Parts: sequence; structure tokens; C-alpha cells
Amino acid sequence: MSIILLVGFNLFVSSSVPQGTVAIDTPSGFALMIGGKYKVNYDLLAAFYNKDNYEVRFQGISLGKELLLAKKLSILPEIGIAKVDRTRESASESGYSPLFIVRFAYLFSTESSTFQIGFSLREAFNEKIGFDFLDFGIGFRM
Amino acid sequence: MKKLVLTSLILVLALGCKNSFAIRMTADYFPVKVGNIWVFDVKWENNYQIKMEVKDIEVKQGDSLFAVDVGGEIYYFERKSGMVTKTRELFTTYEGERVYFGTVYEPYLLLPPIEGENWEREFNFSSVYRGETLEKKFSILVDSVTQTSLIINSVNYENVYRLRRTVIEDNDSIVEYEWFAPDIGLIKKERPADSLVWELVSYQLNE
Repeated sequence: MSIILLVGFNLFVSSSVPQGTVAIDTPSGFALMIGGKYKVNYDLLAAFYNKDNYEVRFQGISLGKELLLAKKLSILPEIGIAKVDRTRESASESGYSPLFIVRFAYLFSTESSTFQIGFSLREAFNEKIGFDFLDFGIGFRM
Repeated sequence: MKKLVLTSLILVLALGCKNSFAIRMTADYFPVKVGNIWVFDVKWENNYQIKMEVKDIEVKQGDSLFAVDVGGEIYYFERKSGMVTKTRELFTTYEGERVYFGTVYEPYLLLPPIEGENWEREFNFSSVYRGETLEKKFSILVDSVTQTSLIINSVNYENVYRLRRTVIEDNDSIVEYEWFAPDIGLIKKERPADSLVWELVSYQLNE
């Protein structure tokens, strides 16, 4: 069993959340390779934004399996859970909601089988609580 | 692979089930649209029913206000970003005559409601009438916003927000408790000092 570190530097590009959003895309997480065959991806998501007269914070964690679409292209469907806080002045309310993430990754060819560099496009969404993040990033696999 | 798909499916179904917080995140606690009707049982000195109906949208001083008929009396509400305001005309009686001070927009409801919050607003007016300076004080305080569930006429309402509204006009104060249900609006109102209770009997909301 080996651990693959997926360090991502994602750039938040668009979403359904209102303007003025501050979103922090955390590193992509890491993946676990078992028997050189299965890769289980772990992902983190954090966002903070103002909506009308209150603030919303998301912190999410998700897990998924990488599926190869082509030699260099892979898709990572993930499911997880997000903790959502909304705050207005001193009052605050928290709850949990499912988190759905689909990540597409394009990996460049490298001589090393353990070091890869690539681009990723990630879509995190949950219509029930009204969030939808689309971001792209660059990352390494070690 | 099959196991993963199955596990994911189970997770999606499990997590996608009724989620109280998701309902509170997205529901409208004050759905005003022309034609919406709520009927309440009123328990007071005599028991009777009262109909609340959104009659029209009227533009006043550039603001679009919902005209809500409550048992024959028209109240005006405005939906703003993140809040609902209620207009109130302030008067006083001086030597048997009615003196008008102005119209105020009181913060009726903050949307979405958040447990534990409170808000208040105070309005002070003065006017010279027949050589006398008349003063008018009006304030509204909303507090004790709590999340609860409530059974009314055998119907269980969940994800309900209850609040306490204190209205002070000059030297008189009225304390009321109100309950709002997701995508329905007001379902109950209580004024303990007068033993007045409103309870929702039926409602009809336009899509």
C-alpha cells in the first residue's frame, strides 16, 4: 500500500454563489494506492462568502475513486460531507449536508511513475443547500 | 468497482434523505405572492376564523409593497434582500384630532432566520401642532429566535422558527410570539397578555 500525495493549487473560477465570494480551495488532498491498483482520493473544500445580510462558511471532506478515462485523463467522482455555518452578527447556526465532487484530471507524461504533474477541473455542488463551485488547479502527484 | 458504485449509491441515498438543515438553508419563511391565502383559527373572547390574503403589489414612493388583507385590514410588507419590512403609519390623538407623524418601515423578519439572533429598531418623531410640540416613540424588538417543531390541528410542522416580538408605542407595549414554518410562513401567533391565539387551519400558496 502506498500513499500518493496530490498537492493541488486550485483557482476558484466561478460558482452560483453571489459576487464578493471569498473561497479558499484547499490542496487536493491525497490518494491511497492499494496494491498498485486502487486509488482512493481524499479532498478538502473550504469556502466563505457573504450572502444578503449573513455569512456562509463551508468546510467539506470527500472521498472517491479515480477512474481512468484515457491514458492521461481521469475522472474522480467523490462523495463527502460538508459542515455549513451561517452567521448573522452574533447568532450562528450549523448543519451538515452531503457534498458531491467531480474532478477531471489531466496528467502529463513523466519519466517517473511516482511523480506526475497535471491540471484538474473540479466541480463541487449540492443543489439542496444551494452551492456550486467550479475551479481548476495545477497539482503534483508524488 | 461494483462495491464502490453500490457504496456510493447508498451514501448518496442516505445523505440525500430529508435533511433538516438543508431545508432551513433554502426554505422561504415568508412566501408572499399575490393570491396566497392563509386561514387561521382565532381563539380569543370569541372563537372565529381570520383570512390573510396577499391582494396586490402596490408601488409607493418607488417601493413595491405587498398589500396583505388580514381580516379586512390591509397591511403592507416589502421583501428586501435578506429581510421583510412592514410599513406602519404613526399617529397620535391630540385634543380629539388625529396627528400624523409619518410612515416607518419596521424590520419584521430577517431571512433566513438564524437561531439565537435578535434585532431592534427605534423611531422617534416630533411635530408642532397648534403651537404644541408633540412627540411619538415607536420601537420594535425581536428576540428569542429558536428553532423548534410544532403540532397544530394534528399537523406536525418541523424546522419552525419561533420568535418574540415586542412592539412599544409611546407608553404601551405588546408582546407577541410568532411561529414561522418553511415555505408556509406564519403558522401560529400568541399574545399572552390578551390570551389571544392564532393557529393555521389551511393555506393556499401560488407556485
